[in-house]
Amino acid sequence: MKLQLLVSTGILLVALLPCHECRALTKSPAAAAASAPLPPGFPQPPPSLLPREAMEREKRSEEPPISLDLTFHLLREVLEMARAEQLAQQAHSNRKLMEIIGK
Amino acid sequence: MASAFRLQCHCILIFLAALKGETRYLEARGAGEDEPFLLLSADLKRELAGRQLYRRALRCIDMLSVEGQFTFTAEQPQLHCAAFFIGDPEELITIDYDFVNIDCQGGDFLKVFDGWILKGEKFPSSLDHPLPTSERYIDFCESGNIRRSIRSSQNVAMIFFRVHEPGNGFTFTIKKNANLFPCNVISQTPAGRFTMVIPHQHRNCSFSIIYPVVIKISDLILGHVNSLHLKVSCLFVS
Repeated sequence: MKLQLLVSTGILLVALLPCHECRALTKSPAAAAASAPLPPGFPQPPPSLLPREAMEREKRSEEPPISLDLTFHLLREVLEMARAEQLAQQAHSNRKLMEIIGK
Repeated sequence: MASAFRLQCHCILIFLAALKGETRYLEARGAGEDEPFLLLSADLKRELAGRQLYRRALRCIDMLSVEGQFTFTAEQPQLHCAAFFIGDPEELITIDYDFVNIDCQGGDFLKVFDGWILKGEKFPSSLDHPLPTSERYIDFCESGNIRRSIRSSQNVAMIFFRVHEPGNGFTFTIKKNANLFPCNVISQTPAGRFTMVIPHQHRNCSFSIIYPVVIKISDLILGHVNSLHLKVSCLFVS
């Protein structure tokens, strides 16, 4: 009986360990981006360039943000076009799906 | 085997299956959503996925709400271009650069902005976004920081680009990923219902609609107020 209880407890503990997805929710995007290693094949920044990069970031933070002078009316127009494209794409996918199912 | 132990094993198996994670994705999609892909076998899904990479040319001013591969090629100098990306409220946008041919030294640029910015007004605002404004711009031309894959923090993102030389351009792929607890959302549609769940996070969240609508707040839970629970859900109609 004791052995059965220990086995059950052990399985429950393994099942309740926090998952990687949940951990990702508590990690801020900045921390995630900073901690993510560069993919293999990309050159690692040499230490001598890091102060220059810090200067570039400071300069960028002082510049006005890049923006687009688009009216809300035009934004809504392009959004409607995007939704129409999405519906057309969904209809195309559904047609392909029916063709595959019909095989 | 003792019946008590067998019952425990059955309970544990059911519990493990529920925690495996796949059911979370079904819940995220919503009970009422018609998703025929779930009924397909793995082979059929692979065949369908292999055929379905949507491709088209990108315009100087564009809005994308579908996954796919998009290519911009300058036919003339294009100095003020932007493409907006928007997904469903429960989605994040991932941008993967497949090919970039621009002259950074010659004044071209290609920048991803985490959110939307229009006439200097940012969404999410600086108060709501976890990053400072300067870090929300990811510049392809920035030395020592080439990021080929960029994920947004909410359901919208955009790119700004400038290409002087005809024939130059770039190609990227847009993918969408599930966001279990969306915090800052722009609605694609002028009508609908949305419930925002913010699990134990001390942060500002927002829900924006760029249409003239009537918003009805129906349920609100904002923690404890004198032992009373207030519930709010949002219904908006155009």
